[in-house]
Amino acid sequence: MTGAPRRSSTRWLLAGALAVVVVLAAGASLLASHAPDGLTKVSQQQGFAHTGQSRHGLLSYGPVAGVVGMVLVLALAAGLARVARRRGGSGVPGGPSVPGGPGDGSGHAPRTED
Amino acid sequence: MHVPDGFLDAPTSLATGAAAVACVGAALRGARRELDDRTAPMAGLVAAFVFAAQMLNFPVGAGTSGHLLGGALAAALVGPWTAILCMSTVFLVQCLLFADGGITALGTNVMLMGVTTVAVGWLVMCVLRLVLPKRVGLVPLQAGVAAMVSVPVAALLFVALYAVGGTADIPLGRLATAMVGVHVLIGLGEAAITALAVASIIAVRPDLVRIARPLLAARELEIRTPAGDRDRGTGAAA
Repeated sequence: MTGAPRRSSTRWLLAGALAVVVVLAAGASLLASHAPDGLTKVSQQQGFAHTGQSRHGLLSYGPVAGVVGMVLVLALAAGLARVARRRGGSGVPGGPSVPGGPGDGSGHAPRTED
Repeated sequence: MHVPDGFLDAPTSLATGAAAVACVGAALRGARRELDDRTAPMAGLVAAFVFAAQMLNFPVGAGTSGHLLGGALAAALVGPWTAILCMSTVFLVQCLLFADGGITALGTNVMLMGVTTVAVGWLVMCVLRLVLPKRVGLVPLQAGVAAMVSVPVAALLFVALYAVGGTADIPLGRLATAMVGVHVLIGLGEAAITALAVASIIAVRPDLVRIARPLLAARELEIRTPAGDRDRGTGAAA
């Protein structure tokens, strides 16, 4: 746990970042260029575009679907991060495990640099 | 650069799928060392930002567009293993919900736009951090350069995969030239967005930028020693 001023500052930063992401997720599709992307364009020029199979998705990019997808990605990635942290406590072979520690031990903050 | 179903044959798609599963498995283990109370909330946000930014196609010359891939950015912010998890989440949702990228090509897309851009981006950033002056202010530049490099490398890897399992018989030299040409331009956009995003976070909370942490640790030591217990007087401008 870090000190109180630090935490609130983190909270503000995360809130600000979330606001930016929501605006981006809602607005990106409106501003986006509709030209084919790099690979699509190359496949047209080089004559293999016809080998690609297009399909229909449940959602298509628009302001609402953009936010829906973004929220889903956020939840999934946060969940994966939780799973990755939990595994530290549950004795994954080959890794340094925390003996008897709760998987999500808040005081346990390894700071290894690569 | 989302690869649809049909560009690559089944054996190649199976191989990239297996490679992607292995990489995500390794990332789940590796991310444990990167995630702490401060960085864990960042993982969700970084993935969400990459997803949102990937919708924003920007024009890159005559009738072509590109978008952020985001691997170098994610690696700079949360570290390479967590970044691979973030990127894989993005491609999974794009593939299943938006039909953006083929289902059989999901592994290919994770490997090309996720693992490759993260690995190349992280590697370039680490090398630059090593050779450039140890200043936090240089981190956005390093991230930008890393992002710039990561995009054409991913494009070249697509060409390599196409050489192995492409379903059409086309001259590979021309394919490589075309892919690298377009993706160098897209890399410029990637560099700009990455440098801007990293610079914004460095400005408010440099400790939340993973690649900057060793530099910060060094800086804290430099400041604290003269100003602290030992009365050296140098630099203690309080």
